[in-house]
Amino acid sequence: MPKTSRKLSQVNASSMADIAFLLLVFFLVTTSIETDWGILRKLPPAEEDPHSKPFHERNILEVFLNANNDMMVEGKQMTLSELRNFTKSFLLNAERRSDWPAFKTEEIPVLGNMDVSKGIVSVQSDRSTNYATYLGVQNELIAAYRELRDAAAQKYFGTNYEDLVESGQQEKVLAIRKLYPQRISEAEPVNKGGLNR
Amino acid sequence: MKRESKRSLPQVSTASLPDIVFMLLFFFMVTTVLRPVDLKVKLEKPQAEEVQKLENKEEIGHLYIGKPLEAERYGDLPRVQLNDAFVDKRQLLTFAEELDQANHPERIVSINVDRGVEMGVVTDVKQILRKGNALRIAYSALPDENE
Repeated sequence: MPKTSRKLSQVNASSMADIAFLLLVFFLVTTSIETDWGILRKLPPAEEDPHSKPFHERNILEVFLNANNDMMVEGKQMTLSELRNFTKSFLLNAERRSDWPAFKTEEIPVLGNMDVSKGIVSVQSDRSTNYATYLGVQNELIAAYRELRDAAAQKYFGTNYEDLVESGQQEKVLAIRKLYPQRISEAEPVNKGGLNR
Repeated sequence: MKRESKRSLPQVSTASLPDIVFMLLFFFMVTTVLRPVDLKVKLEKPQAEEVQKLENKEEIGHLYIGKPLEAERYGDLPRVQLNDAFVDKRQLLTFAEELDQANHPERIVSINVDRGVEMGVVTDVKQILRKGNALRIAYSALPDENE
């Protein structure tokens, strides 16, 4: 009987594509390319001796939020949109007011001897203050510091602060940071207003 | 002269189709991250302009604070969700301590708070994080383009 030689039959590869599509759809459904955005902060360490560093009242910018989401800054009621400019004026203290922050002469690399403000912003909220309001205040304070830093970066380096950070020139970035150190303190909240919890 | 038999159009080879699909698949596997968790709390993030992109997604611990979605089962007060379960103060403290930010400076805690939550819960969480020495945090918010 003649032996017929048979060609090996080819495996049909069309279903491989189906399997691959299934896997692709699975990954598309279960993952997301969204980036997480956030305001980075550093909390103060827990064991803080309250009497360790004496601070003067003039150096502190007091921001109070009550249960009604009203804001009081340095004894005056203010709206959120006014906070940024007030903070900038307070920290710059161009008129060298005696009830606003004092300055300390520091040796900053790249910039030389500069007057650095001793100003600290202190935010205190009530337990019933709305979180969105609180975040709005944080946002405005950070914006104030950013604008001050941008102005300084433009004046000394000809670019704004963000571009300076991205260009990776660490010494210049550090110099600007030392010129305007971001000191935002969070005081213990009070429980004056709001519901009885 | 031999007449050429009528030729049918050659079939398009589909052998390379799975290769293309696998390439797409690998692209997505590389550029995306598995969504971390199913939210058990109602979460509407507030908007802020001064937000920065949080790099290094693997080294972020996510806390979600808001009113539980299943109010009948969990009540109406805001709860704290870590990864995929609600936590109490003790578990939160353990989490903060185990994060060991002292030895792992790139790790941060991303706090996602619903915009309607009041500051009491948030402050308690921050106090516990301070106690557990997890000091690097980020308030999660959506970027806001409006000036």
